[in-house]
Amino acid sequence: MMRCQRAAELISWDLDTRLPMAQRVGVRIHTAVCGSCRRFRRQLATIDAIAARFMSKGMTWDRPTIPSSRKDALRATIIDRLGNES
Amino acid sequence: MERSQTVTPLDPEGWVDEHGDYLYRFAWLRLRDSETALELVQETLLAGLSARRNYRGQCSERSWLTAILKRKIVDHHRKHFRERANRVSSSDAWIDGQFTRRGTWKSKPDEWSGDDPAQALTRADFRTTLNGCLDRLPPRLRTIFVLRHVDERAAGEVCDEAGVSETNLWVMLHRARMRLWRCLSKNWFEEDRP
Repeated sequence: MMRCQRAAELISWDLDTRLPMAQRVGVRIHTAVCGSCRRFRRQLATIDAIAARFMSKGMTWDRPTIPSSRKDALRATIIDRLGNES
Repeated sequence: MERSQTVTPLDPEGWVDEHGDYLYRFAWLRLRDSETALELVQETLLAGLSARRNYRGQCSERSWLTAILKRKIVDHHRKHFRERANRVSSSDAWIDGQFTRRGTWKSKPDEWSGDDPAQALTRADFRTTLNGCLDRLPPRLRTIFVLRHVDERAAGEVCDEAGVSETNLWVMLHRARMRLWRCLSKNWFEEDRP
């Protein structure tokens, strides 16, 4: 039977792509008898979903901002460039 | 009837205050590195400055600048990935260390305690833990994982930007996920929390 290490790989790949039939069946048989890998599968899917949500909605959480000294420098660079144009 | 199109002129003097933090967050999310994010924002504003006569008002000032920044980020990733050999090692000692020689779990996945994991993100202390776990990923794995999720993109597009094959992409995503799973399990989900 498939080992847990291999099952873990396939469980992860299943989140990215549709597994070929043989692997899909293999992982299904494995998780039918292996509680650890069933739990792993549930937890991994949860973490992947959380991370995806965190990053796609990241603009709304914990907004990092440009330090004000760097902002001043940036502003100065732009005004300087504009001055050189005219 | 004649239609005249008025283009609101760009206002570079206001860019830093109007869009600076927005662009910075946009870059930071995709790079997770403050210095590089700042650099690319600066490059974006300067590129916008020299290209501003091409602005036709077809989109907002912010979208226009964001489009420039997006291209800069893609270029950065391409360059970054090309500079390193694109080989992905066939084994990962850290993952091997999670399993016995017979391929079974060395320490089995523990039941998570505490509240609904779906609600975890609403807690600032969880987000700190998650950021910490993301920061601890090896840089290449982190970039791949971020590229995959930040714009909810299909795997194929990520392969393009990172210049890796699909098989390597899956291998790397797996390595990233395993580490995140261990890190978050240990530092959050297995803890008893009030």
